[in-house]
Amino acid sequence: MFLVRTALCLLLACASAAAQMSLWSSDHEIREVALTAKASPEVLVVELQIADGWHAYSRDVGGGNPVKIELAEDCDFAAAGELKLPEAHEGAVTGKARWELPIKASGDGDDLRAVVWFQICDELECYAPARVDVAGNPQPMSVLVVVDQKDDRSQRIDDFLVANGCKVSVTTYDDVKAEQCEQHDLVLADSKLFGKGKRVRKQVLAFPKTTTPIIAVGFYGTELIEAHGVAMTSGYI
Amino acid sequence: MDHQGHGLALDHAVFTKPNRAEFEWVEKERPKQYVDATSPLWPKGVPETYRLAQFERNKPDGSNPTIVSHEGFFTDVPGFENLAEGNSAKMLGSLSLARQGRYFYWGYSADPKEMTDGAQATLINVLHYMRGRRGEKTVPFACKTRKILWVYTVLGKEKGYKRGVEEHFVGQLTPEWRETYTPTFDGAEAWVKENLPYVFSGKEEKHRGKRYKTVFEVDVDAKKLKTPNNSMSSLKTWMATAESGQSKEDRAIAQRLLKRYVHPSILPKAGEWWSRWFQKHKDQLVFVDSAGFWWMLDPTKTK
Repeated sequence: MFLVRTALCLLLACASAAAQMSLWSSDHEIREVALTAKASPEVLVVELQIADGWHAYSRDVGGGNPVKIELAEDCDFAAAGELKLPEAHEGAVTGKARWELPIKASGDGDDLRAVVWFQICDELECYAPARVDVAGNPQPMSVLVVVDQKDDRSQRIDDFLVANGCKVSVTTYDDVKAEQCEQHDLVLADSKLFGKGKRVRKQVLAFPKTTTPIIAVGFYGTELIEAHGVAMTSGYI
Repeated sequence: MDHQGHGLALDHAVFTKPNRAEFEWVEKERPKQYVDATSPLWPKGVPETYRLAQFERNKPDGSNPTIVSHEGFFTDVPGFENLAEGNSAKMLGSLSLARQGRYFYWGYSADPKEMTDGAQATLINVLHYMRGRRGEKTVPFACKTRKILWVYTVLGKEKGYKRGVEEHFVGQLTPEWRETYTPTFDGAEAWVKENLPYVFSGKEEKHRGKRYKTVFEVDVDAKKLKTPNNSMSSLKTWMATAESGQSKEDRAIAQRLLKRYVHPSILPKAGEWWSRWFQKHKDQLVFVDSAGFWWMLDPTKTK
């Protein structure tokens, strides 16, 4: 039973991590801290990478200001629970640390904006509190990857996109259908170098028309765009 | 093209949102074919030494294709985005990253084993940038742009590429205009200088060929009035002349020009004055060579 539960927890943890989309974050001037933010529709995650000798605060201990996350009132998300704090020693956080704010969506659920406040100190002094704006769409992207054939390369692309929060399906130029394209947020039409891999030019030229945005890669990408009657490939000489 | 890019539009979202793309850069001397050339990403030309971003870890065992946009083939396509150029042995203006409507061209490997960290961050940003563009409209493609004739001329003058002016240029003219063309470097240059503003295609069967899908003609009416067909001031002149030209002949010429270049889908309704039509559409009007040499409505500015 314990093993099953552990396995389930691991699976859920993986699924949760996989579904988190990177958020844009504004610049700040403190070189000793790198801030990154990710989110799913259920949780906003902020990570600080703090240089050696410096620390941030997880709670108010009478030193610097603790890390604070404020969701924009006019975005599609509101806080749904307490901010989960990283491990700290007497309120001080060092190294790589993660703050997680449970959130819930309203409206379209694709507009997440927040302000992150943090302050870092060393033994002697503190920087002034810094403000970083974070924003993005936390809904996972579904990507249909179309390849000449399923192989190690297509698996690497699949893994890479999953690691960046995408839900990925992989198909081939032989099998791709318009309905499949329509069911995804994006199509990534891959290509090896000219003359490499399985020859599928005929299938690329017959690539189904779709309203889904297409990222067309390399040689077959130019063929696909031209076959779809888009001007940008018309400059060949 | 190889594994590097230059002229990157680094302020664009594909390099900044959500990830800040950090590239390794190499500095190189400007190649000969880039001297005195400009492009949408290099409007002032390439300096003597310039930086190239590494998109792939190693030079590929073959070539990555570029979207050929020498000197802006697509500057008249509404919403077209030039985002990075690749190395070109021919000319400046070969795009490795570009967007038109819901299509994004990625001119490098998409294999994470080959992509640098900067390229990986950029590709993820591209996904974010494109995800909301379902069904986004762009102008249709009908024919090549007149810029191709200019490219043959420049490639001939600057690189000695003879086939362009001796074979391709003449092969892309209607029979009557071949008679006016001298297939030499100087001949091509003179022809372009005299006729390029009045060139058009994409209208009739004679504008399509077997070997060259696009065949160009020179508009004698536009040339007679000295009104380049893609100029807004020309459109205004044609409208004014059609309604109140001095002679019957002038009015007839202007009406022919308007019929030739104003897209049928937006022609004035019966009894509607051109001046009123223009007021209605002026903020959306664009002239697009590749859509068939039409004055048409910019689909990215749909009211």
